[in-house]
Amino acid sequence: MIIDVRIRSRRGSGDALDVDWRSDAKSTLLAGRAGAGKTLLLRSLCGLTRPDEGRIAIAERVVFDGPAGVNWEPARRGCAFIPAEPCLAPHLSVRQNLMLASQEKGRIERGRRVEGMLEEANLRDVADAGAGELSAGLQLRAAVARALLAGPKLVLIDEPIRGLDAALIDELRGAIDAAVNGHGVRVVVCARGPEAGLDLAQELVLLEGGRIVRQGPGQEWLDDPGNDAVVRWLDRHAILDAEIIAIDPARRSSRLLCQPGTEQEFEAAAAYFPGLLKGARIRVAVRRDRVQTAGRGLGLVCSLEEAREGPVSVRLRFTNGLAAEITRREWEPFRHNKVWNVEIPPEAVRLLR
Amino acid sequence: MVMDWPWIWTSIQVALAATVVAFPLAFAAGWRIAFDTRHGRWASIAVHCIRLAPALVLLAAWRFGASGWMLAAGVLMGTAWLARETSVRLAALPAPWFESLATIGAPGYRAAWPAVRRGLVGAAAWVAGRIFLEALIGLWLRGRA
Repeated sequence: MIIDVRIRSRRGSGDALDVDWRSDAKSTLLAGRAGAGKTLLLRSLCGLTRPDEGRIAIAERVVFDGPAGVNWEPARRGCAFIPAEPCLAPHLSVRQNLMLASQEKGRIERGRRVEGMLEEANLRDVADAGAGELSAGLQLRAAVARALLAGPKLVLIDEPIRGLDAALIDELRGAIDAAVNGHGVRVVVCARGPEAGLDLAQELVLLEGGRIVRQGPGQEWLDDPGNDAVVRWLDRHAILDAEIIAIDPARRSSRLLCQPGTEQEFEAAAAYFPGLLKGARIRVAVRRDRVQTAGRGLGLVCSLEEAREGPVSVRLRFTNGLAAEITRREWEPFRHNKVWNVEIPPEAVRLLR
Repeated sequence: MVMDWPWIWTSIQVALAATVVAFPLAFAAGWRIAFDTRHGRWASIAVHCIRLAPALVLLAAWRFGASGWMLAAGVLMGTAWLARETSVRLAALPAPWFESLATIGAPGYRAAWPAVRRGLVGAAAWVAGRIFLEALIGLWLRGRA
């Protein structure tokens, strides 16, 4: 099923959303920081918000066309929306909430379908519990089950307002699997950060400032972030200015002078960047967890500027702009070191465009 | 004798009948005012106009004295008063309940009704009492004249 969106929504003097997105993936993770336009895009898709101009086609049916005056109401679009805030009526039981969505004629047939969905979504144990008493994960599962009962073409899930924890990420994966594989329904999920996993959905779309800055399979993004916006969103790389000082197309390698013209300049090996010649000034992203560090030994000598300790790993930032991420076990013997020896594997260095 | 039993009985009948008819009309109008930005505006203006009008039931009772006119006036006033009450109570409910249901074509009022039921029944009792008193006063004024 193809989604074809070319819309623009203004807010004040600027654009809140200016999107040109065409996709036929079965599942999409719509990512971006708060205010990037994710929710506005979801609401525009399902018809709860009217874009200022543009066109939206879902499964080759035009549901919104600004110039032609087409604007289908939400119920006709076949897009079930699960908002960030709890959407189940808390004073009704899970079963009663599901009954709201069942479109069958006749109470017996409706009840049969609802019972089937409760079974399928593994919600039978909590079917008579008030929806407001459920955990966030179960509420999400029940909301997805209710959405699927209505037989939509597309399920849109906004990131829960309190953010994603491990349990909710598991629920999201289950929901996507149930919708895509169980019902053949396409899913679009929103998430602020990358913690949900770059492989959560078949396609990853990153929004920044209301525009799509990258679209494609998410698994590749960590190795090759491609642009500054992805690096900022992933928060797993250091960005460095560099100059190409040697190239070897035969060996597909090059040599860079990083942070040129500063007191902190240093050399590093990198892959060959086709189309770029010796002397070209570029920006590169260096993946932190690929940078090898040691308290002593050979390699580039770097002065430690900051060490940020996490529960599992420690992030090191050096005065020359480089950064590394090491395990706590690697960190402990050298925790008082001010000077570190760093090796940058060529595959950790990627060109930014 | 200050009050006649037939007046009281007629006023009770008018108040109950008007409230019973006004209640579903008010719920439908209140729903539109709370959630339908396009048609809700007109419903809201109509409700305000009727609410600001002088006591219609009292006027109908005093002018015509017939229960049919009093009933019509009671339905009009009861709908306006209750519609405003309904729209306020519905608008106070979380919007995501209805937005999510709207996208799957499910009737939102079935989710909203249990949450507003108690308050609206109380408001309906108050409306019935007010129609009763206005009808009674109108009939009494008519009787004195």
